[in-house]
Amino acid sequence: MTALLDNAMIGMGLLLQWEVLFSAAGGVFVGLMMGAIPGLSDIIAICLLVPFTFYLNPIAGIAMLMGLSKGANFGGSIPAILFNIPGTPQAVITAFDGYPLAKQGKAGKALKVALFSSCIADSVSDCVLFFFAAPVAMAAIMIGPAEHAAVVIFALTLISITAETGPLVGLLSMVLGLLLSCIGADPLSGAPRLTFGSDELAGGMDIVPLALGFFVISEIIWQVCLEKKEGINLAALRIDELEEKKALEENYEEDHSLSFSEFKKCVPAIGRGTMIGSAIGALPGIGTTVASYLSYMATKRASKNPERFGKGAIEGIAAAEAGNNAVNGPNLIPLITLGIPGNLAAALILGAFTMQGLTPGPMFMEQQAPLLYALFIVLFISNFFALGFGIVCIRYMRKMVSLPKNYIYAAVVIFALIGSYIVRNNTFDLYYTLGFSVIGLLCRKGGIPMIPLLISYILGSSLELKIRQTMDLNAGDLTVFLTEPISGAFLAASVLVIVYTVYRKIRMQKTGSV
Amino acid sequence: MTRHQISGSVLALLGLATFIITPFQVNLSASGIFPRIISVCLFVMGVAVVLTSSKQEKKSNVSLSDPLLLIFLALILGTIIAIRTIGFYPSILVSLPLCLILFGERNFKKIIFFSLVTTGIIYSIIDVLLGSMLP
Repeated sequence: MTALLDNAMIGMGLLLQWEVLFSAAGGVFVGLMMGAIPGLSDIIAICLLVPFTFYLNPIAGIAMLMGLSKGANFGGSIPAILFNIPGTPQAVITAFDGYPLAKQGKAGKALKVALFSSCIADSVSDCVLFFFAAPVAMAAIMIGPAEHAAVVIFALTLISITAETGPLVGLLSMVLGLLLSCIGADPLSGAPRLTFGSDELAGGMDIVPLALGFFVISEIIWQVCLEKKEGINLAALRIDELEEKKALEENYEEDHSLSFSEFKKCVPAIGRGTMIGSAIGALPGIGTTVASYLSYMATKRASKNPERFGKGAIEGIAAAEAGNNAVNGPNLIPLITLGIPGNLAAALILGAFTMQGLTPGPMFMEQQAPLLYALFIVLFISNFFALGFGIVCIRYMRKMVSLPKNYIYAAVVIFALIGSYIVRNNTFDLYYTLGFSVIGLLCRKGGIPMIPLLISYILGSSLELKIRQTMDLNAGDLTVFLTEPISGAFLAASVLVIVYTVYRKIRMQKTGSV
Repeated sequence: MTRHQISGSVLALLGLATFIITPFQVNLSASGIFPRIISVCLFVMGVAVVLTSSKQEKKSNVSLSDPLLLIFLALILGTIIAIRTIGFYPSILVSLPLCLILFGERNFKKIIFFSLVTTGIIYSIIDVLLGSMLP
């Protein structure tokens, strides 16, 4: 405990730079804006900003990305509540009660509930990170390469089987990511492999051009083609028309204030959402949308009047927002202590750590404790930035929804190309971005989920390294993975999870309830 | 065949091909162990997906032969080639308006204004604020 406080005090000292707080505040603000624009998710925002963190000091750069993730989480709920157009996937659940409330003329009330719930849950989840990261890191130091490899395999399995396209396709995507990670230098000897003689491939592929092609450019092309196919005019969304339509609804009576008694009614829902979100956040792969949904359902079940849910219950908004925001803090525990990102946002943050020359993993907490505690504190402070920006900007953010998408998409594509170049100042990386845009499009068309692919691509080298270290230590004997109790348990758990999920899927197909 | 079955078949073939070529693409035999294990896994998973794929799966709404998609990819390729030959700013001043036209904008005054302003913002951020240089 004393060491924790000492490190926290040194970390506080590192925060006394305008660059750090300004970056965190800037990240929150940009995230809030980008989250409020439907079609631009927090992932696109992080992908676009990761290259620019290279120009900041490590704390400022990572603080900006984390602030951005926080801002986008709340930003996504603004169009979901106002127009039933979720800005981010997790905001779908917020819209269940947020939009009906907005239709009754209480949009301001709904937005305030969402904002307060998000900030409270996020702050508590940051405390969970603050107090639990060190004990988990101490346990992580004690594990050897075999155990580390088994934990990575277990995490990748969880991330893959939760893919919405099905467990087997998720696993296929994960294996493809591992294969792509083999291209370039051998992690142990440094010798080039699978490069077909190309010097450009010998250095391996950087994560930033890959993510920008995969998640930004291919997403924009896909959206544009989809919207064209569905006859949506990219410049045609007019909020005035949507507002006028709402005003014609029955029971329309404007009331944008949130009383203390109303807020008090939301407290149990916020508490429940925070606990569910924090627990889910510590597990890799499950994600914010599931946390938001489970929290919403738990609050609905606990309510004396469950019939109000879906018709504008403020507890429903509080539960959904608390659930998805409470994932943020604990989600960083496996990233920092084991180097295993729990979701895509964490994987991109891992990329940013690597760009700064920092390697998250078991020794990270010991070697970089003051820096990490500075980050934990700035994460906590970012919640106040989010609260402040949220209160001031709520009324203006609605305008973001009506920005013409064709201009936004064009600008995003250009910024993606710039981001791809500036990390290594190498124009060849632009070809990687284009190549991965094409692979991203093929994945979308073929129904291959891209999150397991990217995360396994990031973890591939470290997994191989640990497996080969284990083999070297045991004269090439692979059975050690099964005979060591911890690694054996994690591998057995991975197999059980796969068998159970596949069995369940096949049974559902047979009974026709797909 | 469903889209998952097509994906599974293609990736199974990729796994098989990687397994065959790996020994010719590594300098040390130990370097090839992991890629070969993974290529076997890719083959097995690809076959498993082909065999277990549901016929009720959702179809994708976007066609890969959609002219808009192909033109957009060609535009990005053209932009990259232009960046490598004539530099970033001249390339963007051409590709940004083309991109906007492709996305359905027909107001040329707005297109020119947006392209100039965006290029100015990029110059201010990259060259002035970050002190970096674009090609």
